Parts: sequence; C-alpha cells; structure tokens
Amino acid sequence: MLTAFGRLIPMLAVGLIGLAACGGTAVSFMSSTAIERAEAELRGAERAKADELAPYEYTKADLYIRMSKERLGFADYQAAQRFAEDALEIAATARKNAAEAKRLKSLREGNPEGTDPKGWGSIKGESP
Amino acid sequence: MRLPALAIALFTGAAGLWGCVSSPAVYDRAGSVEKLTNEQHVSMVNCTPRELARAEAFADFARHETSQGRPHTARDFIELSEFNARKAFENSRDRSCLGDLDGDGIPDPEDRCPEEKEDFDKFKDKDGCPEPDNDLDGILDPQDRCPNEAGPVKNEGCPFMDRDGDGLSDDEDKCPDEFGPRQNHGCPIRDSDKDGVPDNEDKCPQVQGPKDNEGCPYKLIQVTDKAIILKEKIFFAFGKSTIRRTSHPLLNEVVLALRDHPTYVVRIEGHTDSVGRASSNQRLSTARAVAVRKYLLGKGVAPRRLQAVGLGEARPIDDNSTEAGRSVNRRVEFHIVSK
Repeated sequence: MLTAFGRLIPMLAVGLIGLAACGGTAVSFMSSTAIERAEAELRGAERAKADELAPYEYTKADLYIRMSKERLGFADYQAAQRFAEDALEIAATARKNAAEAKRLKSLREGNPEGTDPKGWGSIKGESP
Repeated sequence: MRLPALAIALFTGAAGLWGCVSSPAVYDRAGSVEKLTNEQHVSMVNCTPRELARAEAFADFARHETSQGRPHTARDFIELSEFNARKAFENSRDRSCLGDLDGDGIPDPEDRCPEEKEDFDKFKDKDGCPEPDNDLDGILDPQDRCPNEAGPVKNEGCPFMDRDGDGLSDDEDKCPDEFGPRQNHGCPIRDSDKDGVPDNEDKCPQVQGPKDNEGCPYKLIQVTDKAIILKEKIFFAFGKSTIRRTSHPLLNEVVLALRDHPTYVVRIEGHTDSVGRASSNQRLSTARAVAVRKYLLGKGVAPRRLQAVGLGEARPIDDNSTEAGRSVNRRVEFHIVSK
C-alpha cells in the first residue's frame, strides 16, 4: 500500500523534470533571440558596407556571433548569451562607423585636393 | 573494475591540475596580446583591422575557455590570437597607418582638425586646421592683401604704416612722409624765415629775428659779429650819467640781444665830445658807461658778461667843430669782446 506521501514522490519527480526542461528551453530561447538580434544588426552593418568601411568592428562582431553560436551548440547558454550581446554591441558600432566613414568619404570626394572645403572663397570681404 | 576507476580518477586529477597550471599562462599571454594591440591600436584599425579584430576576439575567447576549464581550446584560441596580433603589429608600423581622414598629409592623431584640410599658407601649417583669416582682422585671407598682419578694410587688410616714424599712422598723418608732432596733425612745424624760431612761435615768420624777440628782428639795435650797434642814441641827463627814461626801450632790446646770445661778453664804452676839460669828459664817459652797465645788470644780465669803460673825448667819430658832429661823438658803444 502506498501512502499518500509515497504517491506524491513520482508526481513531484515528474514535475521537477518538467520544470527543468522548461527552464532549459527558456534559457536556450533567450540565447537564440540574442544571436538573432546580433545577426540582424550585423546584416544592417553589411548594408551600410561595414565590411568595407568599418572592417575592424565588422570582423569582430562576426567572430562573436560565431562563438556565440558555437557555445549555444554546446548548450553553454550563458556564454552564448554573453557573446551574442557583445556581438550586438560591436555590430551596432560597425554600422555607425560605416555610416560616418561613408559621410567623410563623400565629403572628400566632393572636395578634391586644392579646392576650398568650406567655400570660404565665396565670401567676399566679410567675416565668416 | 577497480583499475579503470583509479585510472579515470588519476586522469581527471591530472587534467584538472594541468588546467590550473596553464590558466595563468593563458591569461598572461592574453594580457600580452592586449598590450601589443593597445600599443598601436589606431594604426592597426587603419591598416590591419581584420587581424586586430581576430587578435582581440580570440584573446577574449581564450580567457573564456580557460575560465570554463577547457585548456585545449583556450590554447588554440590564444595561439590564433598571438598570430594575428603579431601580423597586425608588423603590418601597421608605417606612419601612413596613423590615418588621415581629411587627406591633408597630417596624421589624424596629430591633426587638430582631422576632418578639415590644412590650408598650407605658411601660417600654423602643422596643426592640421585651416585658418581662413590668419590675422583675425575680419578680412578673409584671399581678399586680404596682408593676410598675416591685421589691418582695416579700407587699406585692404594691411596695417597703416608710420612712414615718417612720428608716432601717427599714415592714415591720420596729414604729412605722412614728414616727421611732425600730433598737435600739428603729423606735419612738421616749419621755420619759414630759418631764424631758429618755429613758425608757430614766430611772430614774424617771414622775417628773421631772435627767439627772445619772438622771432622778430630788433627795431632799435643790430647785432653784428663785432658789436651791438644802436640805431639811436642813449640819452642822459645833461652833464650827468642818469639815463633818460626814453632810452629804456633801447637798452631793453640790448638785454634781449644778450639773452639771445648767452655766451657773449660785451664791453660798454662811453664817449664824449671835446667840449670841456678832458678829465671831466673822461669821468663823465666812465660814469655813463657804468650807468648803462648797472641798468643791464638790473635786468638780469650776469656781471661777468659786462665790462664798462670810459674813453672820454679820445675817440671821436665825427667832427667836433659842428654841433651835429659833437652830437654823434657823444655816444655809448657795445663791443663784443668774446662769444
């Protein structure tokens, strides 16, 4: 005869297993989401030609995403999460720097060597 | 069953020990990579960005792997990191790797205006910033005839000079090429009659005259090289040495002449006609010469400059047989003894 307590043990065990499974899935889901966000940011950086205009940040972000994915594959969710977050930040910097580099490039191309970069020559006899 | 269990236990212990021993080495190596990349980070970002990214990322991954007790992967990562760091270091030594956003030839770390080209106009050309108005006079350099010297618009940005060096700039100097005081608008004070008295102090600017007579010529006397010639006579009381008041203006002019020639020493000679006894005439002429000297002394002439002598009737200059001649012979003369 099983006592009431005896009947409770298998139920508790099943509950704990279920909870553990749910928790793992939740952590895994969080890591995947972080990687997706970092990848999306990196694609944005790519569109801004970061691979060409901000290669340092672009390469680094790409490496961190790869590392994050690798850790996720080993179910090392905490590390995966951390590398994904770093990648997101670096990819955002890559995008920003690429845009800035693009602006400066166009500025240079629009003002070739020897011309007046600020148009001072157009002001006659007046203070700038 | 006991042997495998023991072997596993030994292996696990050894691996753990090895991991513990190798952890500091990985951290040290990662620290060295970090030091190397920090040394010329800007140059590496510009010239070897991918190698730098790998060096930094792999060093980070190596640290992580070590912290998780995975020494093999940690070693792989740190070796990759070191390889990339060395490559980045070697290939980013060139000065051009410092970066030059504005392309003015001045590397960004030394360029105070990395986004603006230096204008290279021989004015502060090393700071990397263009100076549109070097002298800050409000006129832009292309329009400024003197871009490095402040000057007003009406002089095309050049400062007004003071050509004659009289302290007035040429724009406010009515005579910019002639030295002149401010009160005369920079023009020289002329001396038209060249008597040494400037026109603004000369009451007779067109006629020469001594300074003490305000630039006008003497009316009653004339100063020559040898004597002060009186144009009229000095009148005395009859038979006495008392000078008549009417002769005071004449003697006052003599005083002025002596002031105007402060080094002159003068001998005052008294002369008479031949009427009366010679000894009397001698006394009278001396007394009159002395009276004239006394008058001049009273007007401030220094005693050492005046000698008085009576010559009586001994040196007539006209005929004593006529009244007109005798009148001429009764006289006082001023002879210049030394200058």
